[in-house]
Amino acid sequence: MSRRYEVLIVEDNATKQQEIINALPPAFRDRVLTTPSIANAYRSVANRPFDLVILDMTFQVSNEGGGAIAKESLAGVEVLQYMSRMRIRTPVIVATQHTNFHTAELPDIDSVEKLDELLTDLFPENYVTTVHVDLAGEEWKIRLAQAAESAVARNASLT
Amino acid sequence: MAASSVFPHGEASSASLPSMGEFSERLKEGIAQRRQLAAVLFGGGPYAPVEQRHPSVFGALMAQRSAPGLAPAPYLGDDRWAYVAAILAAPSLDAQRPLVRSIVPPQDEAFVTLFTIGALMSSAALEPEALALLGPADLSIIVESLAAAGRLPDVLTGLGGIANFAPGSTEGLEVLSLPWLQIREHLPSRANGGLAAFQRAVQDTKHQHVPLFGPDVFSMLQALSEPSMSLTEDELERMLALAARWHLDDLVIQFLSLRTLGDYPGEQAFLRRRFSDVIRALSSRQSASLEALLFPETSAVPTSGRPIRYFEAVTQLFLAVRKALERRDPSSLVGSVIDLYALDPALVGFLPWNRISFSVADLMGRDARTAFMTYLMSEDQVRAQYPRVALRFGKGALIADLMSLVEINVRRDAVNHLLGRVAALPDRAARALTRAILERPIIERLASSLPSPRAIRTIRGNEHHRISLMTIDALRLAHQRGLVPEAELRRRFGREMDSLRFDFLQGQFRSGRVRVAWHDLKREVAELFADDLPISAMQITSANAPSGVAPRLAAYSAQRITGHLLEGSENGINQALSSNLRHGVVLPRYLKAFDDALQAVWPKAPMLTWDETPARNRFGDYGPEVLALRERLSDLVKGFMDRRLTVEAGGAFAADLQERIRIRLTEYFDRGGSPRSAVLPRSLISIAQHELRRHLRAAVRGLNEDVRKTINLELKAMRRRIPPRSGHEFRSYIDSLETCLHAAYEQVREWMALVSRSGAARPFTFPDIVQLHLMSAALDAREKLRVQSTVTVNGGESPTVEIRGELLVFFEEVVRNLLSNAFKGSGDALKTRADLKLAISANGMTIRCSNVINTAKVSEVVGDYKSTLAKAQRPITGQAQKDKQSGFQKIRLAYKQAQMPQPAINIPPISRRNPRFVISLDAALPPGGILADRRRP
Repeated sequence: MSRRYEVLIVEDNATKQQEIINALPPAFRDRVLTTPSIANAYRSVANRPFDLVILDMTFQVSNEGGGAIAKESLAGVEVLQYMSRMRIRTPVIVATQHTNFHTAELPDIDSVEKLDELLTDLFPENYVTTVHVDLAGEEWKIRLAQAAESAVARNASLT
Repeated sequence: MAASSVFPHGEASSASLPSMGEFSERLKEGIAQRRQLAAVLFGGGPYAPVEQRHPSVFGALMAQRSAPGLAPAPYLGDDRWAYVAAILAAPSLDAQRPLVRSIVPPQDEAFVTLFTIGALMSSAALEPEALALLGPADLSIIVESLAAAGRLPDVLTGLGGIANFAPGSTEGLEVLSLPWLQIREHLPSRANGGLAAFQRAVQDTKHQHVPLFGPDVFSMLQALSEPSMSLTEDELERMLALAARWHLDDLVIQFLSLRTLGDYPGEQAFLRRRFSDVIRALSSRQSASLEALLFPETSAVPTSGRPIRYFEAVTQLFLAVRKALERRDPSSLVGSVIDLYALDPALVGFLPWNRISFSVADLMGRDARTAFMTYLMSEDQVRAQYPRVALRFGKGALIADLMSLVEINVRRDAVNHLLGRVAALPDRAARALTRAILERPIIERLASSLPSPRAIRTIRGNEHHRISLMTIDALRLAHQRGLVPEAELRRRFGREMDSLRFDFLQGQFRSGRVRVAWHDLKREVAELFADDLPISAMQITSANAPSGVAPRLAAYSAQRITGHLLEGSENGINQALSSNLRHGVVLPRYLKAFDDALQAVWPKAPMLTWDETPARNRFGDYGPEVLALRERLSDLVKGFMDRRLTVEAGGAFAADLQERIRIRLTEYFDRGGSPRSAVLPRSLISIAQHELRRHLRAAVRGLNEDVRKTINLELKAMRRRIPPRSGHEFRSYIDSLETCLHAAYEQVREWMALVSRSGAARPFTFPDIVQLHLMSAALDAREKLRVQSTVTVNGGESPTVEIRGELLVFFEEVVRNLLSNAFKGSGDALKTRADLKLAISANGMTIRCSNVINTAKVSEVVGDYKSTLAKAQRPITGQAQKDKQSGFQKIRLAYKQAQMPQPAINIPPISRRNPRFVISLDAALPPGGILADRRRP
């Protein structure tokens, strides 16, 4: 029997979450844990070894009391920071619907390619690639599946 | 006030340019005006009027001050003063520069920049034509600035010594040295507020004195004391020349010494080149450290020992940091950085964090000192200059470090243990790291990763609840260890308590908000058996009852009882579904998603109404599609509510319930039970509860099928219509909308259950209820909603007074209906300004809602006044729960259900001149009083 992989999906959009699961190769679909928030992702990655993490990058955050909502374009980076510091070497694929990730301090991160460059530079231990998710299309599903396969293969060769 | 930019730049032709002599005269005039200002501001006079023939920012700024003689009325204003005033009010040069780009129209940017930041710290310039349009005082400020930067237009260079002209002519006034004395008083020292206090002093002085001295001298001091700006040698030469004119050159050199370690190549080259001049302003100890920093190859090791003076200590610690970097000694490096922070937290902004982060990388995660380094690397002053460092070592790395500080075997007492480790740091660092730990995002993440203290684990509540409790516990422990001052402890404690109380109120609905008055229904069913139903009268259980009558009477009774439970009573199930879900609850919560998504993508541009024009302005060609989607959602939700949340006679729910009751009655009578028994109504109510729960569970499934899945398909189709690689923001909006609609679905799903009995009697405040309504039921986007609430008890304002928990439903119902009326009837929709007031006295209570009416709507409201009044005065009817128009019947029903006397509803006549709609509900106090504190009314 072929190996089944443990996958964590950190994604706050339920539709996208399900589409990502559907897009994964069969070996990645059976043992999926999903979490809609960054705060919960800490607990997940700390408590259980995963073969792959699929991480959204832009999250909606609301203030205390659930009021005003804002988008943080690079919120997902937190999970990479945590994993990197905790030396959790699970490969991470970023799956995002966005194409612009600029912040006040980093105004030039205005494409998926630049995000890819940035994350490759900052988190070489974990970061694999960024897949641009276009829920209206199909191409991204192939790219995600390929990225998942090659991420676990790469990790296996490293360990 | 004159119009904006009344004299647009470039309007004057070169033919109308003043001659050199005229420019010179106007400059003298401008300087004279500013001298007068100095005399008025600092010397008490003379208050001679100043004639103004030009629009003037200077004049407008003076009109804001107590120098009336300088702003004769009417004078020609230049409303660029508003931009100037706003920029000058910003707290630092770092804040002022982006603010100019954000708020000033492009055509005015150069002028405002020159007036507020100056030419030395910017590349702004004005053409002679634009200068010719300025008033004398404005002209003199701008020309001085351009001259100081060496950027005067060619046509004005003939003025010769203009660079020295203004200071030369104002130096005579002794009062002019006062601002510099004020700044010198705040020079950083070990005893005062350090660099941050100095920056504030410079900013305050700048704010006050720009009209007199121009901006450059202040901007220069700001640029030197703020770490973000890197200066060129040429700029520094000009700065030093300007500073010398005001005898501030020693300050320039002291502050340049802060730039000997970071990425400031221009400053360091300048200091090396001018070293022999520079050291004249410094002590021998500081000179030696500075020399070692600037000339590491050739200089001797400076004197060791603890320097007393601030700047001496800074250069010595910089030297220690540099040596640790060179020796690759991360432990010493961490120690030196923490010492520097202990001297002055603002100094860490001048360090080379790219090199430091690399050097300490292997050491990280070991102890509280390295956790503190991680904290620094995610802080604003590092993030602003080294964003990649902050991105590599941000919040996530800090959480990891903090987790590492907690040993596995003490995890049950994790927070206390963590604070104990932090307390070992030097005071300033320990307090800063504690503050960071207690901030919501960090404690939230720690709460999710660390076990809670035993006391908190045993409390049943949601995640927000747990985080607040953990924060309170951490605050208490931190205070015991001296890490949080008393004032902050009280402030944070109050905030967490507010959050807990509010969360509790929200939580009451989280596990279901359908509240049925089961107790009353049980009583009414018993009364039906006693008075109305023929079962009792016919002695159905007696031995001589005709055969076959029992089943028929059971069926008849089941029909009557079901009808009563559903609609025959004002406490009926249909009424409960209407008040708690259908009326102003489910649909607004869904529509709120459209506003929430808007706020997430365009936080500063709320859409006030969902009409075609604003929708097109916001979404372009997709505007009509978004409106159609919103309309479609509205139809789906309404249809869902009609089908699944309405339980009228003849419907499926009624049939099921009736059948269950019939079977129960038949069984009961077959066993010889008495129709007058107290057991029977209780048993029938239990059946109704069970059936309603089942119905609501089915409704949740229906919500998924009828609303959620359909809308998701619509969103998918909409995504397909957006061309690839375009419409980034709109895609982002659709993404957010999908998430927000899912959140709405989740919340409505939770609401669709019977309210739990526990905790319902917890006290609450009136503002809580208003806020709860605005957040959970009304459309959010709080910038749009302007609802104020006030509470008075016996005439004195008392906003935090707590109301008995039993009255929660009453207040929720009344507030919801009053606000719904206000938003519907004002003509301003969500722009409506509504004021809610609760006045409590020993004699009774008044709930008053007042809202402004849009001028376009006034006639209609005035015309409807009589019929509105008639509706308000109509006594409560059996159809109160079906009131979908005015809400008055629902309000009256809320009073009745709370067992309160019916209110007197007063609506004063509406005046066209001051169009306000006011509803006032006066009633006696409810039985048991209103306030949680029984000693009060």
